[in-house]
Amino acid sequence: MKRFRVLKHFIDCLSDNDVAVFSGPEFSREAFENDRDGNFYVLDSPGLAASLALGMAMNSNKRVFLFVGDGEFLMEFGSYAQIAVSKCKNIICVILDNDCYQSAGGSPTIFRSLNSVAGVIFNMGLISLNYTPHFEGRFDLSNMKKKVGNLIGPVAILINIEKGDNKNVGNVTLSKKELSERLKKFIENESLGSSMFVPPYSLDFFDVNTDGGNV
Amino acid sequence: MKAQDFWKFLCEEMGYRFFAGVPCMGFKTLYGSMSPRFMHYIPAVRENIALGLANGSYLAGTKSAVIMNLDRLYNLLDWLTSFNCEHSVPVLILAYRDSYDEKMISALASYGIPHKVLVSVEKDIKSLLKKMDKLGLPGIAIIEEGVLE
Repeated sequence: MKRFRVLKHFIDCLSDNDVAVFSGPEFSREAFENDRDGNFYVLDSPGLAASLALGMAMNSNKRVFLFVGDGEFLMEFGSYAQIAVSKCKNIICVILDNDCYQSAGGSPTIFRSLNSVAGVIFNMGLISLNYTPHFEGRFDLSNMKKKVGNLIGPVAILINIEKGDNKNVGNVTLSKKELSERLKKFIENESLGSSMFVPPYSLDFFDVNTDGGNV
Repeated sequence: MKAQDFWKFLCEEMGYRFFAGVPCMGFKTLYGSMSPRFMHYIPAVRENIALGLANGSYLAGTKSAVIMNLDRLYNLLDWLTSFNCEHSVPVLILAYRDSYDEKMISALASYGIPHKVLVSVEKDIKSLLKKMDKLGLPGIAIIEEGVLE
């Protein structure tokens, strides 16, 4: 399935109170066709989206879905180790693998040359799920909605997609400041509630990492 | 100023709660006096990841800061200019300066990023934060040896 279709279907499966972070200009433009208030687009800071999404997840009770390509995943590998050790239960990484840098004319990435992508992800401490079969053939929205609705992080979802982007999509028409303001309002809006049934992270995590005395 | 008083000032008075950073020798005392009772500190694997965490925290409504060495700020200039300045995400960066290389200071000035070498800590931080809020830009509080003990 093409990236545009996968993004559309996945966005359809998100709950109203989920945050979705899209990385890169092409991802953002295609996702913007199915824009919602919880969507945030990182247009031109390659590599930033993963740590940004983790920072959001750690400070909010809403689930944060991070959408990245295989090229971007490799670019800031450390961020995913950070996501794994955070044990943050409300962060879900969706890696769309087309085995190339689409925005750079389709030159290949090393993603599929790794011994085992799932193994690398697993050894960092993330649960790895392969959702490729769900996006092949006829898409079952209700089944997928149920699956996505029950997701608890930290987890990485791998989806193999076809090469190519959708040339018919427009630009993100909101300014960067408007995007930030909209997201802040969305996260602060408590009336939306949360899809999380457990606290987003364990408080023990912080105790382990601060070795100082008491103030 | 004592490091413990600095945290009290920054967390209780200024409302900062979330910190991420990469340890630096000069901030040994600062790290030693952190308290999980009123702050969350995340050790990041690189300075740019610390900045990403702080940015995410700010967008989720929690005031956040990055702790790092000033020399490593070159790694952040890309994201500071392409994300923080354009999205108006005013995170605070506490940077330890152990060398007197003026190049970084002039780089910050040319990018228009607010910065201040702390002398009178409370007063200087307050004026830096005021400027950051007004401009919607990130700010660098430069801390030299002996300022926090």
